[in-house]
Amino acid sequence: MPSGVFANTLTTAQLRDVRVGYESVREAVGDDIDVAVHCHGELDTPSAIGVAKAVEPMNPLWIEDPLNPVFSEGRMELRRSTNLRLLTGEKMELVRGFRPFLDNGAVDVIHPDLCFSGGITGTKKLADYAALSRTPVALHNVGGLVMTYANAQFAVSIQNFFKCESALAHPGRYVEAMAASNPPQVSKGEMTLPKGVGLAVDLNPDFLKKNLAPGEQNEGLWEGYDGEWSHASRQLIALAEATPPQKFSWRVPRRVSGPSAKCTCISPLPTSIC
Amino acid sequence: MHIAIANFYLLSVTGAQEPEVSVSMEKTVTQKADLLDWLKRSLDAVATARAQLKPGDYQRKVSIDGKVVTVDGMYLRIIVHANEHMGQSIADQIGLYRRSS
Repeated sequence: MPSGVFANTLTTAQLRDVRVGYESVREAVGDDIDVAVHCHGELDTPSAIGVAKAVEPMNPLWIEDPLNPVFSEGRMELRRSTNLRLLTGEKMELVRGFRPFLDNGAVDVIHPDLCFSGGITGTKKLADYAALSRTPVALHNVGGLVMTYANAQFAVSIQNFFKCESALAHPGRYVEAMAASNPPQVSKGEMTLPKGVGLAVDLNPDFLKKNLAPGEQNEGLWEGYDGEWSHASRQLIALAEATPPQKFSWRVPRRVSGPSAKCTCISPLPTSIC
Repeated sequence: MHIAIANFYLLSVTGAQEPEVSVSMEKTVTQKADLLDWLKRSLDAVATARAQLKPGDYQRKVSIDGKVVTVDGMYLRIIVHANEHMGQSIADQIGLYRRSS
């Protein structure tokens, strides 16, 4: 989708190019392959409406992020102008972020990202909320092997899963190469649910070490205990330093009381703040 | 303070010589500077003790709460405990989650 150079408005010539371009794609791939239209949240309302009209004859799978992530009357204007599927959500957080879109029927498919939308638990709540209005869930995933397997496990845990994107089959096959064993099995666009402990991920530490981004530190889980502990230490100190002094005063917990109450995080410590 | 106490206490189970700590310090150590000092010392103590382990030490048996576990298992418990509270602290910082009043 072309972007406006100085504004989010597409000209009539650009809208014509959009129509011709997508018609050419449809002609090339035929009717049995889905074609999605992605607008990257860059368009203004009249341009989004114009794109929807331009691509409608091509029968796209959906129009993704036609407008910026904030809910607005423009969303409803677009909704009223087209019957094409509208999808959005990769930058949204928690049920509260998606709720205006779902409550107003502004989208046909929600598109949460497990990393941004509230983790597995938060996104599960979101999927359940979307299910109340029979809204399907397509999962946004541009991550590596861990994210891809997390999405696969999550997908089978909800009732309204539709599709999930992934970087599998990228020309460099870098996601597949992250697996030490139990690699992803995909056939005709469908992935077999990985079986194993947890997410069923078995990372290849050698591949990860060899492919660090420029400036990225070689530490973390695959470096073993020392790297993990170093990371946890820095995080805990930073969190403590960022905490206002008054929050360190002793507060009587609400939920646990009595001298025999034990910490739920580790049984030998008889405390009540865990 | 709870994290610092746990670090020292769990480390002491492995046989490391650590300062005596008690749960009551959760109530008595309330100044931010003191708390940060305890936290940093406890985190460093774990890293130092871990670095001094020899290969055979990991599978050495120790006892905690009536159970026999390995030294390696104790270190796993220490890091799991710290990570659990790190997650809670992050959630607390951004206002997602409150465990106590």
